[in-house]
Amino acid sequence: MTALLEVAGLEVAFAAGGFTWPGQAARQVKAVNGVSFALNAGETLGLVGESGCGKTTLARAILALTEKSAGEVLFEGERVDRTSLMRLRRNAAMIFQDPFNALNPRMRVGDILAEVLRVHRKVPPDRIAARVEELLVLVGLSGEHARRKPATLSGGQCQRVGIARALAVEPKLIVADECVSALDVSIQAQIINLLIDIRSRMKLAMIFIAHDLAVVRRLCDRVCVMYLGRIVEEGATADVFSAPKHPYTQALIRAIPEIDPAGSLPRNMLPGEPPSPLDLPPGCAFHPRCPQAMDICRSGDAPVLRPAGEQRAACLLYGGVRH
Amino acid sequence: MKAGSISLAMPVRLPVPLILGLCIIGGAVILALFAPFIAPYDPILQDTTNTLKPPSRAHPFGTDNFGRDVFSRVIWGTRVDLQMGLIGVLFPFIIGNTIGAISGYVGGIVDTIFMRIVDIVLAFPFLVLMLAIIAILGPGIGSFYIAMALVGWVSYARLIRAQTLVLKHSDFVTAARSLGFSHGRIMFRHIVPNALVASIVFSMSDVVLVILSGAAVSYLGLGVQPPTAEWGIMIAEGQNFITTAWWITTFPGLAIVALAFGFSMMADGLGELLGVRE
Amino acid sequence: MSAPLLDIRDLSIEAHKDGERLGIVERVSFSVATGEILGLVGESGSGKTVTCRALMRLLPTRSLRISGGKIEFAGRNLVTASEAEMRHIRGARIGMIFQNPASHLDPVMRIGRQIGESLVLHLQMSPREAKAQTIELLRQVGIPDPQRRADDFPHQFSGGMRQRAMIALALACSPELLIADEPTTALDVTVQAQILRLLVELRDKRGLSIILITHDLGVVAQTCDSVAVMYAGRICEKGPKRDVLAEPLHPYTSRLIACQPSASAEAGLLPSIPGQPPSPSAWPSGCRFHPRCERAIGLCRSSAPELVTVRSNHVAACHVTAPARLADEAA
Ligand SMILES: Nc1ncnc2c1ncn2[C@@H]1O[C@H](COP(=O)(O)OP(=O)(O)OP(=O)(O)O)[C@@H](O)[C@H]1O
Ligand SMILES: Nc1ncnc2c1ncn2[C@@H]1O[C@H](COP(=O)(O)OP(=O)(O)OP(=O)(O)O)[C@@H](O)[C@H]1O
Ligand SMILES: [Mg+2]
Ligand SMILES: [Mg+2]
Repeated sequence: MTALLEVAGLEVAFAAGGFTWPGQAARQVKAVNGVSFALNAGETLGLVGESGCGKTTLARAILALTEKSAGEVLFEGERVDRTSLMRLRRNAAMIFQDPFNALNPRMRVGDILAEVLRVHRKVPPDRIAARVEELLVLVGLSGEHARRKPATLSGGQCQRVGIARALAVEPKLIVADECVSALDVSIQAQIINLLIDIRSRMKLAMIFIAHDLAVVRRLCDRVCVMYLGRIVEEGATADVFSAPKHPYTQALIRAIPEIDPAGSLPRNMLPGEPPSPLDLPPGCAFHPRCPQAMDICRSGDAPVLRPAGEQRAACLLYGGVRH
Repeated sequence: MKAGSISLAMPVRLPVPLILGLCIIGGAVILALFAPFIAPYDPILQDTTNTLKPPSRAHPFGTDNFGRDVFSRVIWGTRVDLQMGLIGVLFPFIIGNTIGAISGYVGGIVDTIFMRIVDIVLAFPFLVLMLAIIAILGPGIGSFYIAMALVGWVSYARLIRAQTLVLKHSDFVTAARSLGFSHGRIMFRHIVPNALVASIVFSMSDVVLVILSGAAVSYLGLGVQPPTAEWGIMIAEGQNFITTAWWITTFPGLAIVALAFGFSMMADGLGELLGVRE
Repeated sequence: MSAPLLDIRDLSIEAHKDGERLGIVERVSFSVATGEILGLVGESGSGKTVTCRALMRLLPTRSLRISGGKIEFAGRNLVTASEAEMRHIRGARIGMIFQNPASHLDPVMRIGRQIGESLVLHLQMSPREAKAQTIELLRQVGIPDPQRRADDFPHQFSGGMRQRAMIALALACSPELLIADEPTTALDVTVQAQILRLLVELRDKRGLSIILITHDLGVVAQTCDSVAVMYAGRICEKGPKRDVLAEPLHPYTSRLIACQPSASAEAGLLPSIPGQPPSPSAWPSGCRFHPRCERAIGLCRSSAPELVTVRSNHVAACHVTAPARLADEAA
């Protein structure tokens, strides 16, 4: 069986701000730098990593919302390009981080959903109103909300509308970019539970980007950990959380705040400044901050993902090293 | 429902300037529509026995050097000036917003070309360019509208382009793209309705500018032609008598100020209501 | 103890909607001492942001207004302060990290200039000094390569980077009080820890006072000295961090703590508080939490509980748990 989504050697570069002399090569931010992974139907993949490491850019590039500079994306075994783009659009949807900015402020909730149904001809015109109500009920709202404008809804309710809109296309893949980080824990839990429920009912595959590792642990089958545009660790959620292999993943998991009444801030596990994506250091991009860095980490090409325990990690501590 | 439970508060609290502006403009519209019934005299009827009379009961605003009733002329002038303001704004509004929105949304070479044109138009002083165009086309109200359209669109284009550039990166537009909506739909259903608010508010204050330039152009003899009752012309004709018959210029002048005030109040109020300014 | 830096007494805020008046925030009181970090937690829509905007006198005046109470900051009542006076306080003496950086950063101005501008304005720095200071600030909040990134526009930053730019902006003029409205929602845990460490360090070094609004009780546990919990426009519990987190009194606080997802748990549904948060147009009678509270008694439906002191500084408003605890303490 082919995977639902396959990403191979994906790279995205942006022209960087700042002054360049004429003749000097324009500077580039390599936001995504050779990412490859596969996602099966019905599977949920968590994507975590440092702020600014390229998660949003990766998600947008997968959905062809940002121009990629190299690599390819295969959806159901077919390359996504100009001609097959509509196929991806009909089968994949995105949920955004900021629930208020993701909805057109001048449209009613009902119109927002109806528009999707109309454009994709999901139901005959006379069934649209009924289907809109069905979708609202599915995400825990009611038909009454169809007449409201987004500004009169709370953040959690707006986020539900965003989810309803994503579900309206009846997608096989949902990409959720930090879709609960703006919500309080109780509503966050309701939304996550909703996603868990819908996922199993509709056999949805999901790419779930989040900073809240506790939520990732609950929701995701697999996790990819990103650092500066590359995937540095990838494996089943339980394995990655119980025995993180890459030093960055270890630091990340140790930094999860727990509610301990006597708690205090953890000491800094990642000393030094994060390197600039404008000029990546040679070797492993994590070496300037890595407590276990060796000489071989500081030069040559970036390490590639290799088996490490149950999962795979891009770290020279786990083999591939000749002394 | 009990009578007592009817609240005097309006469902949406309209900003005071908006109400004031609406009243003034509403009044002007009524004057314009019913000018034949309200004006006591024919505005172009000359009465040589009755020239340069100061305000009196028969002629509340006096008469001019041809014995025409200034009050009636001011009322009939409302028709011309209001129409001039509205049509003079309509074309620049349509042209400017279309070009600006396309320019901002498409970007690249299209954007560069349009913005260079805007820069060129802006390099000339506004009135000089207008007068030059009218001079080429020949005097008349039609020329005035064409000149206004050719010169006035740049402000709208720049305004809406800036809005479009910002909205283009917003999440809801990205969402629309991710759902496979066509460019036309994204532009006209999602970007333009949000970007247009600022343009609408601006157009209100632009009406003031158009009326003033219309009056100025007519004053110079290049716009509306005498003997039509138009405030600019009335001021131009009356200036020879400014020391002896102040009423000929003062009342049309006040009319211009009042209408301009109405539109700028409306602009303020709309801006507040639609949330352009806090 | 000397007078607190900020003392809010019985602050109430009303909204006008369709000619009606809705009480958004009701008789909220708390105080922040110099060098204290107060955590403000509570349900979405409970009025945390509105309270803090009121402090800065930044409420949208057409729809919201302060209807009572006083806000005393360094001996001055901000409720009656003139707009000119507020301009000197805002930014310079009280800094605010807004909840959604996207709408509080100018989309068409370079990040560096936005920060530099406020330095020039409030601290009368020369443009040169301001530039250097801006870069230092961006470095402190962990933006890599700040020299060059200062020239970026907000849309060229990632979500978390925008949030950190907002933090740099709020810290720019070294305020005495910092209002941080959910400052780390877009940050991963390591960067979040770095930012919190920066805030705590500023507190230790300069005596910065902080109001930290957050949904993450883990963050509260790590950084705050005291906590105030808001529910539906009222404070339902407040006290020293240890007391509130270890022995929560109000049922809402207990549920909130129970809902906090833990990274050690296995896959499966997350606990949540059943029911919807109430809205200002239909506040429940009596105790506003009673429709969702499993310990509610008849009294809760009819009368609103007052805040009761159960131990020094630890207060809670509950008809059931507060008297029980008081009895325990007495015994
Ligand atoms: N439109 C753009 N132009 C230039 N650079 C960009 C653009 N979008 C993103 N970047 C840069 O690409 C890098 C990755 O950004 P991205 O938004 O993908 O990060 P992220 O992992 O989603 O971070 P966060 O967790 O903070 O949201 C950042 O350095 C960012 O500044
Ligand atoms: N301009 C406004 N006009 C009317 N009501 C408003 C306005 N702004 C906020 N509200 C209402 O005030 C209440 C409190 O909102 P606030 O933003 O303070 O909540 P919050 O505690 O900050 O929630 P969150 O955690 O989601 O940020 C909400 O019910 C909201 O609907
Ligand atoms: Mg992101
Ligand atoms: Mg808030």
